[in-house]
Amino acid sequence: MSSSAPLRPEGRTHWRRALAVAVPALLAAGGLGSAMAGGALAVGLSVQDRPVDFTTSSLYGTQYGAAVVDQAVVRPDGTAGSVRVLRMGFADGVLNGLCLSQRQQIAGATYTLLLTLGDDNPGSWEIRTRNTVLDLRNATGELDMDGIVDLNVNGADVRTVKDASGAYVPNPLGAPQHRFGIQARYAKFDRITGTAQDFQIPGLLTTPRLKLSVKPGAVACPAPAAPVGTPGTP
Amino acid sequence: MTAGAGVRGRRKTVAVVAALLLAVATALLSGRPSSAAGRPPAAVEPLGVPFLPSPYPLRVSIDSMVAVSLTVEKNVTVRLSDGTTVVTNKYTFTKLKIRSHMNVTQRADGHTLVIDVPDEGSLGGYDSAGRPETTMMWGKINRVCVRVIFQICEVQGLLDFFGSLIPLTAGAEEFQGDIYAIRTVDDHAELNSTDNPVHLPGTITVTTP
Repeated sequence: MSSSAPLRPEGRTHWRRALAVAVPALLAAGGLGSAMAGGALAVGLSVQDRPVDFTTSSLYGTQYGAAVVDQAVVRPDGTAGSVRVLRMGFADGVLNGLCLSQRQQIAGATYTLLLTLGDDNPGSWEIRTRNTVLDLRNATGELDMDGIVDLNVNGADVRTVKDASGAYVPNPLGAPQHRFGIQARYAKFDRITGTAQDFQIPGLLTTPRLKLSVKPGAVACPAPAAPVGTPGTP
Repeated sequence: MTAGAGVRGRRKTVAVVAALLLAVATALLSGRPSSAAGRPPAAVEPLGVPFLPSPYPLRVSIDSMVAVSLTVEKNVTVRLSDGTTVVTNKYTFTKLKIRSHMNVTQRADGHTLVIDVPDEGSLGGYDSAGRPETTMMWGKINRVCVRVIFQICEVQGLLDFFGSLIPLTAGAEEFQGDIYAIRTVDDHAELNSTDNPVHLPGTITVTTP
């Protein structure tokens, strides 16, 4: 028995369905983006639970510390687990542009959530932050440290942030004992491309030109430009 | 389009929008303070090194390096963070520059950390005024070669024996050591300074088995 309906080739674009999906998502993203840019949500940035790719032209800060810690993850099969990451912390810092890219599998299709902060000027460190924490799986770029720089410090002994009385908070990175750690007075990381398991900037003091978008497919952040000049005082 | 296909399409749309909203909300959570576990400081006091190193040494290899000088202090007792002590050496370099490929690997119980610098870099170096920085390493150099017309290897025993000031201005090659702690000192570091004594253009990776 043959059907009266004509056979439709697979792989064609369903524009009505695509618009029904994309428009609400973009409106939601745009709404949150404009609220954040307007100050309503401009208090911090936190990406957790799943890895996020990121790039930045430069990250410069004082009271830098890093330690290998355990980070809880949800495995692809839904079970809980943990991975080791290098947790980096800056008490005060400035960023020269930041792009975060996170892929989502939704109904069999890949979408990318792209969030960019900052201007396009490689000579300005336009984003000021406080108590920045990154949990790195890997990062490639130029890693510079200055002042007194210690490598293989016991991670639980690393110091970065101070409390209200001016005393260093003990073990601010939450590192278990006997893990690798780094301590430096200053750190400047240029042209960084990496993957973070967790990204926290609770004290996002300035957020010029925030953009948020949802793009179909796998979209990577653009390669970071080389910074020009030297950063100002964080 | 059939009624069933329409329902499926609407469900798919709702699922996609909900998932995207969840993703966006996750990305834009308001500020959460960095974790401050508040653990008490380690009970043991540093010995031999200004800080307590992790008990897992760093395997440091440098294909080619240059330094103005190297001094060796033997039989230094170093206390590690687990309270144990090791008797090892303290090496002090001035203007330590990496001419090619440095790899620092720590294999600990539960992870491997790698810092890889494929080309040039520094672990001390000097500032723009030419003032030297110092680099101290606590551990054992297992192998190092110097080149005087031709390459002479396994000279670490001579370094340890003579101990005092040894010029490495001609460079050293095939450096390999098991190092418990590294400290570099820039006495004139300032905000806005980019003359960083530790310059590592490369990759840092942590892997969990």
